[in-house]
Amino acid sequence: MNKIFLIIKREYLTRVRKRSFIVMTILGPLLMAATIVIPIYLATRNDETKIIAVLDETGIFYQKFKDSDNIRFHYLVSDLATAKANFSKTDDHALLYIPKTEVSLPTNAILYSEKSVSINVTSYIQNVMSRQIEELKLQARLRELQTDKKEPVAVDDLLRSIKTSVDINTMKIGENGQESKSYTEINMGLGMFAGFLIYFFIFMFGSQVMRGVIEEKTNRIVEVIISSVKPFQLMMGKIIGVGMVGLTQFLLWVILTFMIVSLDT
Amino acid sequence: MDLFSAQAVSKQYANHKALDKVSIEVPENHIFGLLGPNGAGKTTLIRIINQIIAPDEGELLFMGRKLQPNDTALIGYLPEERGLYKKMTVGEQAMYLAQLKGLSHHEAQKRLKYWFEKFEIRGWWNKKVEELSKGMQQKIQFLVTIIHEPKLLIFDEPFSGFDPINANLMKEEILALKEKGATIIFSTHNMSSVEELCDDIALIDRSKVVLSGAVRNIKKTFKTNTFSISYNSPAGLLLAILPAEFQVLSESRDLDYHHAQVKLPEGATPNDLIGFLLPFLTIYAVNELVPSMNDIFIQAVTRQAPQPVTQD
Repeated sequence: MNKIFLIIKREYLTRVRKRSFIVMTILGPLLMAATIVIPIYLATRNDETKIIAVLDETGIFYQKFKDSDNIRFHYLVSDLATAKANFSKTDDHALLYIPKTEVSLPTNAILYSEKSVSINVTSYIQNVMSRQIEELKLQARLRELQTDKKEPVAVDDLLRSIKTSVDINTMKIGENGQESKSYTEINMGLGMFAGFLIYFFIFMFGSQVMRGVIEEKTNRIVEVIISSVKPFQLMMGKIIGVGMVGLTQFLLWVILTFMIVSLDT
Repeated sequence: MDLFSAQAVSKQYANHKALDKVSIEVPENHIFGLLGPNGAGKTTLIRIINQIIAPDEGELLFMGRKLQPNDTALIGYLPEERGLYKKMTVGEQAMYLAQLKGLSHHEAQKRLKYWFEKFEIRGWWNKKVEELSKGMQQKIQFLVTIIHEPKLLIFDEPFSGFDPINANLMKEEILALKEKGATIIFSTHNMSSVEELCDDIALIDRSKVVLSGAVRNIKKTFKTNTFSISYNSPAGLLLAILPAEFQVLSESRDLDYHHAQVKLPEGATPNDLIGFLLPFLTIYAVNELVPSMNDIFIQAVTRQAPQPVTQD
């Protein structure tokens, strides 16, 4: 056991100290941060005022969307088909449609637009909606508690029970009023990219184990080592050692990426 | 008592029998030479002793009992094809290998310090292995082989790659290790080092042991009762003087003397030879021709009739 630990230590330290490991660890987060920061930057750069039409079938969000620096809201009273048909004739940037729900409070909305909507806008709408719904839920809960007069409820539980997340689907309206969903494709692409990354890194670190074995075979040190430890211990130490190198690199990437992103924003 | 013995060990590779019922006995505190031409199976046997590969059949006894996996801590092995991790520093590497042999961190450090000072290589501690010459690397390897003070040391061609000064240093170290009680098996092609160092040998040829025993005894059995004499008389005279049983194998002369090699008949002594010659010529030197390990090696391997041996 002790010998496996020695082998792990050697495999780990020699790899972590390599120049290529250090370069990769520094470059990785820069690339990652770039992939996160650049799209946000591009999305926020456009600071012209955007007008958003709100078609709220539930009625609970009336006048709740406050105008901000570059987002304005106006409320429509019509049905979805006419609103969509009229959309292209207006200057509106997007049409927010909150469908009517029968039983529960609404938790999703659809944002129609001709161009893609920036993340700021969707997250702003998301925020307002979830805050409004949480408020309504809280009021309902409090009324319930007042009438029931049951045992007191912990604040944490209360907060957890009213927590709401709102989904906003973005759809594009073409010139002829066609709709296309743009959100799922991005998600799928992201999933595939992450899947590819996993595959790539398994492959990369797997080949590091192989290179380690080849190195020992070619410089013949393997005979000395095998005459001191069992081959199983050597292989196990190698695999665990290289695995830990990989995990270390990932951990550093995650931490450094977050640091760079938080510095930027 | 035998520290190590192999009994009827065989090893078969795909279509080649590397060892065929090989038996050796290595007495405790002896230096045992494992000899044989290239490809005879020496390295296979050494790998079996180190438990790098397992024999197909046969038994290995170590300190009177069966060889066990944990015994590797009591064995030090310097392979013929040597290598170290090139990117590691000398000190780290030595510490790593010493600890793999079961030494504690503290103990390994203490002993390495002692040996590095003894070999006057303290300045190498932080150097990378790839910066060292081949001979220097071998010194490091020799050092890590003996660092855990094993009972049994196995050296495969220990002197190849060393200059004469360092080879001597190694020789002295090997003898010093023997003094301290270690048993040493070493395989070599260098017959003069066998004569200097080995107490016993086993000669392996074509997967079989063809000759084994104490060096002294082997030499005795290979002696042919042949003497060389140096004298001062014209050539051809010797044949006329000596009786027919005394075979004159060769005659030659240089500026000062005549030389001849004479094979004596069974039971005859050098005194008899001198007695015959004394009345007729002046003798300057008489030497017994003892076969060198080199001759014995060649004879045993080529299995030819004993040839005239050269001066020892």
